[in-house]
Formats: sequence, structure tokens, C-alpha cells
Amino acid sequence: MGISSKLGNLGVVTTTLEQAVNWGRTGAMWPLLFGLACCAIEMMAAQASDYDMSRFGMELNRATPRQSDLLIVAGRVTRKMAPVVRQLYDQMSDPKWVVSMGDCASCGGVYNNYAIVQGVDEIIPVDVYVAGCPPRPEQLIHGILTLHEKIRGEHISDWAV
Amino acid sequence: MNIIKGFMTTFKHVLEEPVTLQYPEQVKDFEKRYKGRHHLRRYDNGLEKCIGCSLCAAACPADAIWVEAAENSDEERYSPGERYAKTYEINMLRCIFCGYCEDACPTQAIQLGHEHQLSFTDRRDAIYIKDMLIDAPADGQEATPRQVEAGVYTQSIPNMEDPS
Amino acid sequence: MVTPVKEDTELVTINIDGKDYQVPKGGNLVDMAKWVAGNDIPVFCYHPKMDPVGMCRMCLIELGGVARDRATGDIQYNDDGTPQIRWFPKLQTACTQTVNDGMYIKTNTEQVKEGRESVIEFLLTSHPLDCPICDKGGECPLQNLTMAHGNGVSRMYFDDKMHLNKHYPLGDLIYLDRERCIQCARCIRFQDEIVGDDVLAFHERGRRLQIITNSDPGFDTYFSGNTTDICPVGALTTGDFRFGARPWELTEVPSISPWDAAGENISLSTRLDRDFGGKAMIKRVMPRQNEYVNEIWISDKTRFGHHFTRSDNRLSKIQIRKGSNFSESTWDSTFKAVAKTLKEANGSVAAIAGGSATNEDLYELAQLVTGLGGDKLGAWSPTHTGADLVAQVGLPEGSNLGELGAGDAILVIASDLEEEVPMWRLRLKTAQDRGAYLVVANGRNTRLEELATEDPNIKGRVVDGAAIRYEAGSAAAVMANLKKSNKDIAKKLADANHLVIVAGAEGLTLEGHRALVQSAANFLIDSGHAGKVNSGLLVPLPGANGMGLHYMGFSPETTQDIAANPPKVLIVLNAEILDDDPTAKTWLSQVDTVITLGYFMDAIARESKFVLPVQTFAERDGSFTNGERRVQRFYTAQGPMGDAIPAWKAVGNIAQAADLGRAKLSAAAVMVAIAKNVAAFEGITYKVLARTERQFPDVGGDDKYYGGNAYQNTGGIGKQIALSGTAKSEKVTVPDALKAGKGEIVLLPTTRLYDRSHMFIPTVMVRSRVSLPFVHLNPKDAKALKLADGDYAEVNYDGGSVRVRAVVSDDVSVGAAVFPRKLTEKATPLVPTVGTITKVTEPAQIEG
Repeated sequence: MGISSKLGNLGVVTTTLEQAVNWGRTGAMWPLLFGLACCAIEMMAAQASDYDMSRFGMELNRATPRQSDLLIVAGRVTRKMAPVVRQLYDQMSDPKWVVSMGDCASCGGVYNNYAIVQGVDEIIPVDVYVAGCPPRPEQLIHGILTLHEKIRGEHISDWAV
Repeated sequence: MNIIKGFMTTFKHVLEEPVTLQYPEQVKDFEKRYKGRHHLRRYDNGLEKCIGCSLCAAACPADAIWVEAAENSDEERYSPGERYAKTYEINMLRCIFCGYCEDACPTQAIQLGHEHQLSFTDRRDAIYIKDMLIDAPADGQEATPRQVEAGVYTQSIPNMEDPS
Repeated sequence: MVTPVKEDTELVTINIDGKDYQVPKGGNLVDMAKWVAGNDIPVFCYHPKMDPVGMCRMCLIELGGVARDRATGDIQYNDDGTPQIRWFPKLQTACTQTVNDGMYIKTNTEQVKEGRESVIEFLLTSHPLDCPICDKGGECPLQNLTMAHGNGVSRMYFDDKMHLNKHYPLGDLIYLDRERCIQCARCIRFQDEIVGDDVLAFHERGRRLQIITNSDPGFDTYFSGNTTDICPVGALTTGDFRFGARPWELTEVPSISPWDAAGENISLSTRLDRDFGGKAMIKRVMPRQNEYVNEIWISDKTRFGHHFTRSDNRLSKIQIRKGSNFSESTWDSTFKAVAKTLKEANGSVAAIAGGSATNEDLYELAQLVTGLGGDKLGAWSPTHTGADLVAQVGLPEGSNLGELGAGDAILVIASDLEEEVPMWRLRLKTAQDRGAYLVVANGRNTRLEELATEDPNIKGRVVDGAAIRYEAGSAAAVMANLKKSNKDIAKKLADANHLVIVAGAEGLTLEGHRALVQSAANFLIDSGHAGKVNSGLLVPLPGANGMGLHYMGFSPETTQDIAANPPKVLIVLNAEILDDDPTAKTWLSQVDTVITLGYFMDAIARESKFVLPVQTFAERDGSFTNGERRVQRFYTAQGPMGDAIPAWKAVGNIAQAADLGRAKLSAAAVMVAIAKNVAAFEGITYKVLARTERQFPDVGGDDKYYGGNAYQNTGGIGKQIALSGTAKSEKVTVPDALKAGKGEIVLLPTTRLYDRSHMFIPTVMVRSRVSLPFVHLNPKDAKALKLADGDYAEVNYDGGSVRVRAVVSDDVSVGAAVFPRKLTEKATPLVPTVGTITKVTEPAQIEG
């Protein structure tokens, strides 16, 4: 299914199309309006005028997963929160990406205990991990740029399941 | 009247410089005390300051540091003392950049710098090994390990000013 | 429970910091304050296992006594009716005080605090303060006491510190840092008082005082590692653990020594390691306090011999023979293939198991063999026997070799305990110090002979005192006729309050050893000692689980039977038959299929159809039964090696594949089955074995000054199995000693602690201490063979020949050559045999 099966192997055309699609995806990525802990404060700062993530086409944080294509897990994920995070991720429509922001989301951080999921990648696939406790807005933006780079390397077939 | 007052404020700001920082092209100057990623330092003579004592790992609240020590010999010398770090790894995804390691270090070997661009697409890339952490030898400095004359480095813990 | 308070102990009242306590009379003040009041009087030089010397002055306290009228002796009272206390004008050392009635001490006054602070400051005047790189840093008494009692600031200049040798090798195993030494003499006193082998000493005086070793090779003892434990600073450290890890990073896992019948309690300090694939790895081995077994000591073999568990030569994959080659396989298919082979044997199945197999392994193996219709369970090696008699007249429940003392007697016959079970040798030596009468009987001079009680009334043939030197190979006859031939000694033994007889097998065939053990049992029964607490029989059975072999139905006599009537299929568990015994290949060739479960690709494995890798004590749970019949459990410490699994699991799954019931899921479940089916193990579960109790002296726990935090016993003190059955004094027929024909000589194999066995050779750092192969001859025999000390000789025996160095001295008797086992890669005689020795000029091909 998907676009690749309809287009077949069109060589140059596909490659160029891929680039165009990826450019489009990086240029208008809408994150889910969703924060879990202290990292979310830095995420807000990244969206405010000082850093202004809308420069990267991220002016809108959507309050519904149906309209978002980026999940920034900002903060520690408790075991209780884990099913919720997973459901939000499942409700997002493809193509979708996940940024694990900060130590707690990435590996549990200092909360090495039974209540915290030791890395959100235990429950959802993560594209980019951003180090920091919490990461500065610069670091988050760097993470998003890393994600853009990753997306630019993606193929249409990656999403054509 | 109030409307005019309100628009005055708006127009005033139109004329002002935008506050937005054009990251990543522009990078803000961090405070000197800012704690970014770690560096392992060298003495002026190019030997490593780290003695592999693991105190940084003990002080680390996030368990981000892994040290395995080994013994120096005059044929293969890394640091001036008896002991050096054979393995030195920091998991940047665990590290909370608190700087306790810097405080705990008896030889001021580990210092937190200002690099902050730490994003990884694979979590395994977040583990910085010793080669990534240690400063490259400066100009004219010999790399470690190196062969030295016997009897020069006799102290178990080097003196910071004069490591020999 | 091991406590200082026994039923008949007289109690006295002492007053510590204004509070009265009842303590046993004659106890040491430091120990008693800690035991009854939990008052940690800080010490450096004092150690509860050794005599006080009062050298470090750390234990200063205010000491006083109730004032009495000089004329009448009446207690003098204050006006308010309280007794008047007469205080010493100056501080006194607590460690040199024994408690007595009416003793008053103060441990928390300003004067005491000042005293402690000054002592710490003094000790630190020349201490290098290199704690960050010191192996002791983190569990160092000097560090702890400085934090607790030190001033924090020094008035001394760093430049004036002495700079001495930093990393001076005392021996191959122990390193001395002369800058760190605080000259407490604990190591010197340990060697002198506990081991009785004073290879350490002080040299020079004053500020130049330093520790030296006066033996060649340096620090030549089997207990050297213990000095690093009791060293209150990082002056003595082991080469093995050097920079291995920081103590706080280690995970302590309770375990049991896999080497000998003593069953030393150990603590495996593990840590994840990069070079070991990120798995947990043993970084060092520390003693674990068990006052019934090893107190707080372990032998160097136990401490440094753990390297075989990670050896590159470890079997890590299943090997199945296809023609002359081996190919790897998976467990599931192997279980089926082995089960098929076993079933096709139609009951002609036998098993031989070695002493490093655990109770669980042995039980499952016995179940498999009997389930298949076989009945032959052999114990390896067939050199020692008598486990059945130890089960009947051994040390009864509640015995403790540490309680032997004045009025008691010990007989060690036909055993070089120092080489066979060093921990027993250490404990019997300390018993002798407490006044026990130690008799040593052997056919040659052993290091134990020096420890025999000096008795001016007894004149021996070769040696005086309580030492008997008999014709080689005649131990059984000596024991049987002890009352006739050595009347004085026999009387001393028979009249003793408690009597322990250690009956080894040196110079004896299996039949000879049976006669010796039976005679020893007879002696105990006749003298009325059998069944009495702290009296009984001990046999230094090879391996850690010699008694377990007996309880699970394995016996050395059956091994001989298996050799005489080889079965179709033989299962070999942890027994290096071909490496041990040169004569084994003749009968093994008649066995159709050999199935080996072991640690290494040894000679028997190379002859096998199936070679199954099993886990060592370090990687799994299990239990051993030691020579005193104490069942002790050990825990998983190290990460697994390849595909190896515990032997009980492998055997259980083979049984399942052979439709003999379902395999057990855990070692604990096997122990439940053992408790149900083996009478002696009734009531024993892993929970029972994990029981601990408070032990005296209190050296574990959170104290700040006994050094090393591994002493604390958290894994259990085990459970001693009660004596079973009633042995009767039976008539003994002593088999004739071997006679050598013309040109021949009797070869007497002996055991060496450090040998070239597959299990010990991976311990590289001890390799230089492993003796080169030698044959020890009496000058008379040597003259006849034209051999001089140091010549090369070829020893020929049934099943092989080997070139070794000749040692000539009259420490051995005429007509017999002492020829230690396992010093060469080749198999040398396991039991006494007749062979020839010829002089050769070419140097011997000696490995290692």
C-alpha cells in the first residue's frame, strides 16, 4: 500500500519527490501540546519569542494528537502515565515522530525507581534523544534540527507500510 | 481613547528590534558557570590528570559515570600517578549536568564545559567514551600512553603544580 | 550461638559511661564494651583474634575502680551513699584491660576525645593521604576513624613527610606500601600467633621502622591474604585486586570455597566489568565470618583461586563427538540425544562424580542413574574413603574446632593438613595454642610436625615430642596398634576431654585408608569420645563436597568396582579421571560411551561422546557439605560463561527427556527433594541454611575499625548434619604395605595445595609458587639410584613416565619416594604404586 506502490520504481522522480515531501514535513511540523514535568517549562520557553520555534514552522502546538505529527515527551514518564502516552502516540496519524526530551524521558534519569518508566523508548519508538536536565531551549531546538536531518534522510517507503 | 493607547503600545513594539535569537546561527553567550558536557583535562606536560579513582562515579547522583582503573607503568604511562582510568564513560542521557563530579575530583581532571548540543538519534551514541571526553594533546604535547624514564613519576597522587 | 558467655561463665559488673553492664569475667574491655554496650572504642592495633599489644594508643579511655580502704578492704562511699571511684590520673589503653568487678570507664569525656584526636593527628603526620587511589579507600579504618575522631586539619607540613617505597612486593601476592603503614603489627602478629609461621617482622627502629619479610620466597605462607584484611590501612594490598574496583562499588555475594573439605565461608565481591562483556565479575574474594568453620580467615588458594571461573579454557559450548571431531549443539537436542544413549544402555549405566559437584548436582545425578536401572555411583578420587564413618563418629552437631583448648587432644595422622585443608591446619594450630595436645603422625616430615606439642617425656624414633614418624605406608598399622606401640601418646589422647582425629590417606591405598579410618573410629569409640560434642573423626576428603558425595550415595569403593566392571555408559561429573589417574585409560577404553559434565576440555572430555559445559560455584546457587558435615549454601555471583548451565539442571533435563519425571526448576527445589528423600538432610531447606546469628567477636557489621566490610555473614552459617547410625568398634585387618621388588621403589603420591590442575592453573599470579615437579627421596635410596639433590630423574610407573627433579633429604623414609600429584601436565600415580626411578641427564620437560 501507499504511495510507493503506486509510483513504482521511478528513479530520479521518486528521489526528488522524496526530497520534496521530506522538505514539506520538516517545514511544518506540529508538536502535540503535551508536557509532563520540568522539561515542559523549557519547551514553553523554546516556543516563546526568545527562541521562537515557529521559525521552523512549528507555530502551532496542537491540543489533539490527530492533528500533530511530533510528540515531545518532556519530562519523566510515570508508570501510571505510560499507557496515556502510548495512547496519545497511537492516536497520532502517520507520519509521526517522537523526541525524548531530557534525561528522565530518555532513561529515567535520577529517578531510578519503580514508579518511573526507565526511558520512554520502553513504550514508544523514539527518533531523537535530547540530553540535559532539563535541556535548554537551544538543546531542544538542536534536537529538533537533528530530527529534521533524520527526516531528510527518510524514504517514502519507510512510512509506506 | 483607550484604543489609541493600546495601539500606541503595539506600534511602539513594531519599531523595536526583535528579541528572537536566531539559533542555531546565533548562539547566546552562556554564563561562565554554565555546565555543559564534560572534558577530561591534561597537565601542561600532556599527561592525563585523571587517576581513575572513581570518586566522580561515586558522587554522581544519576549513575552516569563508569570508570575502570588500571596501573601505569613507565613503559606505558597515561598519568603521573600509579593509577589511570582505563575506561572512562559518561552517559550523556543520564547525566544531569549537576557538576558534582567536578567537585569530587581530587585532581581537577573532569570539568564541565559549555558544549550543549547533545542530541542523539541512537541512545548508544550518548555514551561518551574516554577518547571523546579527553582533551586532544595541545601543540607540542606528546600523546598518551607514552614511554617515560624510570624514577620520574614516583608519587601515588601527583602534585597539581608539578606532577612529576 | 558463638558468644563469650557460656553456661559456666562468671559474670562481673562494669560501668561504662555511667551505666552498669554484666560481662563475663576475664574478657577484653574493648570486646566487652562493644558486645554488651555497643560502645565502639576505636582501635588500630588491637584485634579480637590476637593478643593485645597497646601499640597504637587509639583506644585511650578514662579508667577507674571502686575505692577500697587499704586496711580493711571495705568499699568507701561518698556522702550521698554512692561508691567512691578512684580514677587513674592519665588515660589508659582499653585494649590491654581485662574486665573485672567494679571497673568504671568513661569513653566520651573531653579528655578522651582530645586523646583520640591527638593519636589520629600523630598517625597522619606521615601518611601519604593517597586515599583516592588506595585499594583500601572506602573501607579503611584509618579513614573511618579520622572522619569520626580526627580534627580535620593538620598542623604538620606536607613537605616533611617521609617518602618511602610505595609498591613493594612482599611476596608474589601481597604488596606493601611503606608510606601508608602505621606500624600496628597486626600482620606480624597474625603470622606469628594465628599461623605460627613468623615470616614477617619489624626492621629498624623509630621513624624508620618498617615491615620486612624474612622468608625466601617472600611472605611464604598459605594465609598471606588475611593480612590485607586485618591491615587497618592500605599498607598491605593484594596484587589480585590492585585497582580492581573501589570497595563501595562492589556487590558482596555470600559463597563457599570450592577447594577443600573445610568449606570456608567467603564473600565474592563482584562488579560489572567491561572486559567481561559487561557481566558481573568476581573482583576479589573476602572471608565471611563463620566462627564454626573459618572464623574470619581464608587460605590464599581460596582467595586467589577464583580465576578458573573466567578462564579462556572454560567449556562454554556443548561438544558432541562426530567421528574424531567435536561439533557444537544446542541443549534441547543434546538432552534428547543423551537420553536416547542412556536408555539404549539397558541399565548398564554408572556415574563418577568429583568433589566440586554440589549436593543438588549429586542428588539429581543419583536419581538419573538409579532411574535408568543403574546402581553404581562412584566418588572421585578413589584415594580417600571413610565418609560413612565420619557420618557416624564425626564431630556431632554443635561442635566447633575453635572451642578446643586445654585438656583436649588432636591427632593428625597420614595427612599434610597444610597442603590438604589449610583452614583445619590453622584452626588446630590455634587450638594447640590454647593448650590442646596436638599429635602429628606421618611417614615423612611435614610442616605440621613443627606444631606438634613439645613433650619432654616422649622420645620418638626420629622426632621427639608428640610427633610420630612411622615407616611410609604403615599409617593404618600405627593407628591400629597405637595403644601398644605409643603408649604415652595413646594415653594422652584417650584421657583428653575432647579428642579430634584427622585421618588422611597419605601413603595409603584405598583399603589401607579404610583400615586407618576404621582404627581411628575404634579408638574414638573405645575411649568414649564418639558422639561427644567437640570430639570426633575428620577425613580430609578431596574437593569441597566429599561428605555430600557420601550422603548422595557415591563412594570411592564403587569407583573401584566401576573400574573393575566397566559399564556401557559412564557419566562423569566434575571428575578429571584421565588427568588424575594414569591407569584409568585401560578400563575406560572398555566403556562404550562417556558423557562428561565439566568445566574444562580435559583428557576425559576429549574421550567423551557428549561434553556438556556446567557452571562453577560462582555462577549458580547450590550447597556443599563440608568435612565437618556442615551443609552451607552459596549464591549466584558471576555472569554466566557461554552456554554452561548448572549440572543439576543438565542432569534433570536429561532425566526428563528419558521420561523419568519433570526437571526441577531451581536449586532450592532440588534441595526440597533432597530433604524429603535423604534421611540425613531432613529439615534442611535453603531458608534454614540462610539463617545467621550474632557472632563473637563482633568484627562485621558497621564498625569502623576491623577493616573490610565483607566479614559480615549475611548468607547464612549453614547447618551441621546430626550424626547418624551407631558405629561399633570393629576388628581391622590392616592390608600389607606395598613392597618394592629389586630395582623398584614405592611411589607415594601426596597432595600439594598449589598444583597444576585445570582448576588452579588459570590463577596466573600464584603460578610461580607452584612447585616444579619433583620426587623426594631418602639419601639411602638416592645413593642406590646414584641420584644427588637437584638431579633429573625419570620416574616410570604403571601408565606413564615423567621427568622430574630429584630432592634428596632424610625427611622421607627409606624405601619410598614421595611423588606429589598434579605437578605435571601428565597424569602421575593417584595411589601408592611400585615404579622405577632412573637418573637422566637431559633436563626435564617441565610445564609452567
